[in-house]
Amino acid sequence: MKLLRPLAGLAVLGLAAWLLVALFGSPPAAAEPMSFTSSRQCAECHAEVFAEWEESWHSQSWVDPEVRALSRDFANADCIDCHAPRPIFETGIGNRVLPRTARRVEGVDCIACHMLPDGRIAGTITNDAAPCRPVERRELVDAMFCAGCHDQHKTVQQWLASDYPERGQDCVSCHMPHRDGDPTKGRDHTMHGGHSLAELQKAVELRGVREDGLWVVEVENVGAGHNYPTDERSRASDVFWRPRGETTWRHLYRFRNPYRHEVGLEDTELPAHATQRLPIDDPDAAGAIEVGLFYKLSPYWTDPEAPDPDAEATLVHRVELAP
Amino acid sequence: MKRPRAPHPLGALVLAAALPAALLVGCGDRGPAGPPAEAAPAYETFEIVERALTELALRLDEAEAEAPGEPADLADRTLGLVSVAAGRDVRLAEVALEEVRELGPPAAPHLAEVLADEGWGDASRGAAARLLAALDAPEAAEPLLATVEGDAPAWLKASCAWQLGETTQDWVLPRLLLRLKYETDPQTVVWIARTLAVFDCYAGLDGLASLAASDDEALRAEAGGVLAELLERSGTPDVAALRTAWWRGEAGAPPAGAEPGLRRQLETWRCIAALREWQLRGVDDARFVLARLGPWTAERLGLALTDEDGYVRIHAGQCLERMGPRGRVAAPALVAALDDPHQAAQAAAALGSVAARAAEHEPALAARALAALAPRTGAEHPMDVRLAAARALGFVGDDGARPALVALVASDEPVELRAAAAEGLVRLGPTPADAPAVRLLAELLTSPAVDPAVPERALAAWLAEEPDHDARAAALAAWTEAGAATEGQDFPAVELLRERRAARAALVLERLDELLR
Repeated sequence: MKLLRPLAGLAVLGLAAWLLVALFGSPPAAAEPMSFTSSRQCAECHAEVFAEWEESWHSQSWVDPEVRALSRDFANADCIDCHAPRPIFETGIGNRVLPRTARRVEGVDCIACHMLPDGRIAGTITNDAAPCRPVERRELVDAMFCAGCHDQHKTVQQWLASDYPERGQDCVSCHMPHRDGDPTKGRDHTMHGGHSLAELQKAVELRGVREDGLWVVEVENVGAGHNYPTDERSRASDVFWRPRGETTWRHLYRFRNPYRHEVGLEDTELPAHATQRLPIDDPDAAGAIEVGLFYKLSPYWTDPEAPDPDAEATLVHRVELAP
Repeated sequence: MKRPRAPHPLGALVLAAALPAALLVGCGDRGPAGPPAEAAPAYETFEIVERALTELALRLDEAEAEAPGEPADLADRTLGLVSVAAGRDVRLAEVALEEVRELGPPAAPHLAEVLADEGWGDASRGAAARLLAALDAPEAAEPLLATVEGDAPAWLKASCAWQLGETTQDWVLPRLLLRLKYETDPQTVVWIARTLAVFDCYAGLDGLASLAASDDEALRAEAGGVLAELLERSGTPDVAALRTAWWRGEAGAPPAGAEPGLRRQLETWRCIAALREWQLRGVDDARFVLARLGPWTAERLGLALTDEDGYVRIHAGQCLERMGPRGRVAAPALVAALDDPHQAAQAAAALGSVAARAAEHEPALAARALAALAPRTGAEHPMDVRLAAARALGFVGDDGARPALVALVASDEPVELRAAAAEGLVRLGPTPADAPAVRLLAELLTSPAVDPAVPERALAAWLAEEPDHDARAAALAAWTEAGAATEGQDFPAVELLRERRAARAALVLERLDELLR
C-alpha cells in the first residue's frame, strides 16, 4: 500500500496537469484557409463522398449527353441556372439559384452545395483545424435547400402537399439516406432518383382489376413523396399493354408534365398517394394481357407512331392479367 | 479601375458598438440561414424597377383622362356596325369603320364580346376585329391581343395579329413577342412577325424566312409577301442584310431621342420586373422578350443593372448579352457593373456581346471595352470574372487584347482559364502566333477538363476566317465532313460525338503549320 500512494499521487497530478492543459491550453492551430477552384480538391480528404458524387447525376448536370442535346449544348442558356449553379449559400436557402461562369463542367458539385460566402465549407461539424474549415450548417438537409433548383418544377411544393412532411420524410430521407442506415456513417452522395430502377420501382405500383368485363389498369404512387414522374419536363412514364403472346406493345397512357411550348398537352403527372385508373376498352383485351409501365428520360420516341418501349425506355413494372 | 470604398470612420464606430451584440447573438441558438452577408458596397444600387413601375403607372393615370359617359344605345349601335362591317358591301364597311371611330373606346367592350363569342359566326367576329383595330385605343387593342394569346381559331388569331399592326398601339409589343415563343400556328406567326416589324422589332424575321421556304404553297406566298414588305420597310436588300442590321441595332432603331408611349414603357418595365420572379418560367419568358426588343429597352436594361435586386441585375445583364450589339447603348452601364462583385462576370460577358466586332465598326466602343475587360483577366480578380473577360475580349475583336490573352494561354493557370484565353485569342482572327492557343483548343476537344463544345465552336469560327486561304478552306471542309455522322441529329450518340471531336482535333493538329502560314 505504501508503494501505491506515491503512484496514485503521481497519477492525480498527471490528471490535473492534463485537465489544465485541456481547459486552458492553446486550441489546435487553425488551418490555413483553403481556396477552392474545383470540387476535385475535396477528393483529397473526402475520397468516398467524392466518388459517390461522381456517380451521381448531379455530377453529370453539365456533361450528360441528353441534357446537352435537349439544350443544344446549352445554347438554350435558360438551362444554365440550375445545371451550373452558384453556391446555394450565396444565393440563399430557398431562393432561386443563379448561373455561374466557372467550372461549369463540374455541374452541381461540392462547391455548389457546401461553399459558404466567406469561403468556409458548410458541413455537419465545425472544425477550424480542418483544411476546409467546415462550419456546422443544418440547412444542408432541409428540403428548402433543394428547392432553388428542384422546386422550379414544383417538386418541393408537391412534397409539401403530401403527408410525407408530417411523417418526417423529406428529400434526404429517400435521396440521401445514411450509409448502411447508420447515421454515424454520414449520408450517401449518389443521390439516386429517376435514373435508378430501384427508386422507380419503390415509387409506384402497377396492377389490374377486372370490372364489367374490362381490364382496368391501376398505377398508384405509393412511394414517391412527390409526383411521378417529377421535376424535369423531359421525364415521361408510359403504360403499354398487349394481348398475351403478342410482341408489339400498345400505348395506353402517359404520365408527364409537358414543356411549356407543348401548348396542347396537359400535365398528367401522378401526385403522391394518388391512383390513376386506366380502362382498356379494346376487344383484343378480352383475354389475358400483359401490361408494362415504362420510364423515359427523354420524352420523344424515334417513331412516335410506333413507339418501341423495350428499346427506348426502362421497364419499371410488368404484370400479367388473366380473366 | 474603381477601388472599393474605404470604410467611413462613423461606420467603424458603429461596427465597434455592434460587434459585442453580434457575438452574443451568435452564441444563441442557430436559426435558419438568413440571406448571405453583402460585401462592402463598392457598387451603388437603387430602387430602379419599383420606382419606374410606380411612376409610369401614375403618369399613365394622369395622361388617360376618364372616358366620357356611355350613350344608352351604344351597345345596339356598335352591334349594328358589326353587321354592316360583316356584310359584302365594301363601301358600307368603310362607313362602319368611320362611324366606330366616332363612338370611340367605349365601343370596345361590345366589340370584344362579339370577338370572343363563337355564336356570332366568322364574318361578325372578323368584322369585330377590324372595328376594334379602327378604334386604335388600348381598350380595343387588349381584346385583339388576348385573342392572339388565346385558343381562338387560327384564322381569327392571325387576323387579330395583323389588325394590331394596323394600329399605333405599340405597347402590345412585349406580349406579342412572348406569343411568338409559344405560337404553333404558322399563319399567326407570319402576322405576329409583321406587326412586330411595324413596331420596329424584327425578332420574327427568322421564323418568317423559314415559313417563306415552306412546302405549303399558300403559306409560302403569305410569308414571302410579308418578308418582302419587311425588306422594303427596313431598306435592306435581303434577309441576311436585314438580320445583320437588326443584330447591330441599325434596323428598327427609333429616331434619336424618340421615347415610346407610356404604356409601352410600362409593359417593358413589367417585363424587367418579372426578372425578380421565383419561378424560372416567368424569368425565362422575360429574358426571351427583353433580349428581342430594341435599343430603347437596352437603355432600360442598363438602368436595371443598378437595381437593388440582385436577380434583376444578373438577368438584365443576361438579356443584354443575348441582345448583342443592338444593346450597345448599355455598354457604359456594363463597364460600371464590372465593379459589382455580384454581377461582374455576367457584366463582362454582356460587354463582350454588346461590343461584339466593335473593333470593325465602332473603334471607340472597342477601345472602351478593351480598357475595361483586359485588366479583369488579372489574377487579382475572381476566376469567373477572369474567364468571362478573356472570352469577351475575343468577341470585341480589338488586337490590343492579344498580349494579355497570349500570356494567359502560356501560363500555368487552371486549364479552364487558359482555354477561355485561347478561345478569346482565336476569335481575334488568325495570326501565325496562334499556334499555342489553337493547339490547346484542339487538345481540349478530347479532354474532360472543359466543356468540349466551347473549343469546338471557337475552332469552327477560327477555321471559317479568311475563306480565300486554301489550307483553311480545305481544313474547314474536312472539319465539316468529320461532323457528317452527327449532322442534323437531335440526339447524337455519345460515341459519335467523341469520334467527331477526336477527328476534328486530329485534323487541326495535323494541319496546324499550314493553317497558320
